[in-house]
Amino acid sequence: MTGERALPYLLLAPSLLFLALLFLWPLAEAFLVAFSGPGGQWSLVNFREMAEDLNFADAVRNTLLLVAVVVPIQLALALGLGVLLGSLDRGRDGFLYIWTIPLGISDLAAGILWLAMLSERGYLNSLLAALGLVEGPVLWLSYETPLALFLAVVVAEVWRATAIVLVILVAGMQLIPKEYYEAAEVFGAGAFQRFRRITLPLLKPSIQTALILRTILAFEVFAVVVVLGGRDLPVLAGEAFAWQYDYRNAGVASAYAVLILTVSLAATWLYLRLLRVREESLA
Amino acid sequence: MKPRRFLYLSLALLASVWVLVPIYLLAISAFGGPETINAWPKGLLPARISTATLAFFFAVRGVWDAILNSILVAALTMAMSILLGAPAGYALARFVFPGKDGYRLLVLLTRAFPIAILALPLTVRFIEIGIYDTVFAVALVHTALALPFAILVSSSLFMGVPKELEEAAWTLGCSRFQAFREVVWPLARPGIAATMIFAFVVSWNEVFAASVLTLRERTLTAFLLTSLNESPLHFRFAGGLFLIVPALVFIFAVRRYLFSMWGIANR
Amino acid sequence: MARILVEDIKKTFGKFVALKSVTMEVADGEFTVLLGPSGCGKTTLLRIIAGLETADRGEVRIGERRVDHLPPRSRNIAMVFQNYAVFPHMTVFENITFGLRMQKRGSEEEIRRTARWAAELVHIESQLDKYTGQLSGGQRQRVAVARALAVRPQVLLMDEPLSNLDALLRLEMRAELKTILRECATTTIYVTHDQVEAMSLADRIAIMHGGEIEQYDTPLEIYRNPATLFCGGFIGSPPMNFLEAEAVAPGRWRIGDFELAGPAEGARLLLGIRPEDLEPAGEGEPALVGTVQVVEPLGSHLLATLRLDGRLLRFAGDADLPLRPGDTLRLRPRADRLRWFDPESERAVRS
Repeated sequence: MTGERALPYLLLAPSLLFLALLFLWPLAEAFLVAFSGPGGQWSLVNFREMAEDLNFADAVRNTLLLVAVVVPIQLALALGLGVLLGSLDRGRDGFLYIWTIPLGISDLAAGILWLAMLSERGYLNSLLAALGLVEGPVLWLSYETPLALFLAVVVAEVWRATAIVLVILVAGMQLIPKEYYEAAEVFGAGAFQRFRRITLPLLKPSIQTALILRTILAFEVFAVVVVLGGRDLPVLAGEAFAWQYDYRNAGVASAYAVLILTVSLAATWLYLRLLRVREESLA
Repeated sequence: MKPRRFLYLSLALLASVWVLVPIYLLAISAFGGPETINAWPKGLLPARISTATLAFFFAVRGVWDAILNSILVAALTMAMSILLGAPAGYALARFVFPGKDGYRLLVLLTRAFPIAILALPLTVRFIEIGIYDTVFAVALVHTALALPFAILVSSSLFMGVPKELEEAAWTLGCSRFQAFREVVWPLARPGIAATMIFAFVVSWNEVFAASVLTLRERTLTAFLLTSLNESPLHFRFAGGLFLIVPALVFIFAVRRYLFSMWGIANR
Repeated sequence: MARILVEDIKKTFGKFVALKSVTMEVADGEFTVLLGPSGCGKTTLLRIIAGLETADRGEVRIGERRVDHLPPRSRNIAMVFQNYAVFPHMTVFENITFGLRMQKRGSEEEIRRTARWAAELVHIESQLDKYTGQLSGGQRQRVAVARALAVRPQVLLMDEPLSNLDALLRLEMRAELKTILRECATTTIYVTHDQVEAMSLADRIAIMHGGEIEQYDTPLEIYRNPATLFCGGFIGSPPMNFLEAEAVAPGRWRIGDFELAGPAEGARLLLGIRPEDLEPAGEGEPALVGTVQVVEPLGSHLLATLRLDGRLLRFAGDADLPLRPGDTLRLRPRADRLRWFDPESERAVRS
């Protein structure tokens, strides 16, 4: 079937063309726009403008802090839920379905949902009042309470995006043969030792994947923050959006986009280095 | 029941409460009528069941157009990502050829691209070629988001159809195309449907690109986001709930493919 | 019905040479088994004949027609796969008629009749409306065979069709397959790594090793006169014994202290002798003398492993022989069953 040698390329060509047009080309374009001055010459003026903006330092700090707080919580929670799922006798499918519901929920909807919880007359305040902890409605989501606002975003993000980590980890756990656990038990390993000596090392590739994916997405955090705090809690993607949409300045917006890409790639590289998985250790 | 089992079950129920209760509370916020929105302190049951809030939401000018746009964009995204992705997935699943690893790497790499870096430069180009602020333009960007998934997932679906079945069809008189139509396609169809639903949800939920690429032809997410500052709380709650409901149905529909979709495709 | 001609077929996968240069002819109506260990190229050769794999060079002819440039569907073949490859989304009837429908052969009525004939041949006619997922492994294999026979192919290709069945079922299916295929008299190539299967089914066996056919002959001829060391070692359970022999005079050879007649040429040869072709020797008779290491009573006969000047020798004898580990045993090879091999070329030497 020699005539078929071209077939795979024919099948790939449309998607390849599409990916090139909608990924590689905008990527080049973004760099071009970000690095060019008002006259079109090569320039760092956009980056200077970005860095001199009042919100810039806050946006960088908030985004990095969010990643540093949210991602470890999600990983720990997902690991816990994954192990819990494995220990259940019945109802695994049902629980897994419930726990993965947030996968299908948009960040905008998740933000609105937590707005209903945390707004002045929301359910959190009602609960606190019922417990006698507050007198009346308290304003949590305001620029005057940056810590509360930050925590609100953390809670909303943990609620929304732990599910993706869970699915990746559970998929990985299902690949670990039961015999390993039985063997470990026969040799006297307790539940915690089995987790530490078998689950964790064999799950490393999945953990790596989950961390990379979640971190990249966390650097892009946008709608949740906008719904809960507007620009009271500046983040990188929110600033990019504001420069593009409100200030009509594509140069600075692109500079932000380049910055987000750079930190995403740096984080990916870091994870790949730190969690290096040796090929031969994968049975 | 042993105490340990009881502990596990309690923890699992607790986690389920953590996921479900906020959704329930948003639902009663949206169905409780204005009294519930302004009530203080709020109870766990709505003051009364009312469709007033939802009626108000749907009566707002532009909401129906936005919903229609969202559906159109999502349908286009669904069609384009499967039409472009399934052939590529088949090629990855069935052929060994030079450049395969490079292509796979390219597909995986696109996942590291923040949506901002796609949407922002495209805004400028889309204005130039005259498709800015159209449903099609948004669908193009959403397809870029959904396509890598569609390629990887359909490739794993096609790999799940044993090659021998296809070969058996060839030896029994089928051409490559006939064998695909008679054997591979019927067996991969449920998974392909799940992939399409997935592409639909990706598009339905996407906020950033939809907001920067449209002015009048808003999708629902773009409409809600850009009217946050001027809209009352109960309008936002109704909008949020309306965004969530299809997602719940979709997740339920594709639950069998959960792992091939989000688990395996991430390897 | 047609003969198959394979000429100078070569196939490489990257750096791995799967087939070096294979030439063989299968006569019209003949049942040929390709036998060899895994990785010997037997499945590759079968797939090249089927058109599922393209050879680097060489020709394949079915009947008088050259087919190596044709896709599988134009070769007038049918194939049975190791894992059955019955279509799970079709009923048994739809599976069996699949080939006929795809090739648009005959009217609805004729197709129905052919399907019934094929189903009856493999005794599956009561299951026609079931989906194949509801069937056992053995029944699925019957469907696969019926599906292949229904298209009335010129050539039937079978790739380890019984290897996924459990031992008892395999035995039963083997006998049944032999009956069915004799009835159809279709030219058949059958791939297996199981020597018993090969011996019991084949008109001729092609023993493959390292991408080459080492011997292509009737089962008994291969058993009696292996062409190479490999053939002697691969066929027969336990395999043939090989003992190093030194020439003492032209035509006289010595193994340890035991002398015997052999080929006139050469200085060093290997003597090949099957375990059942050794007999206990009387006192005073010249013999191979060894110490019994292991005794395995197998019911029908007895198998003993002997140590003989540091080498191991297997002996199959009468089940009632009173042997125990540690005993000394004197054995004499049957003169008409001696086979000689050149240790350099590993090929048989005529005596």
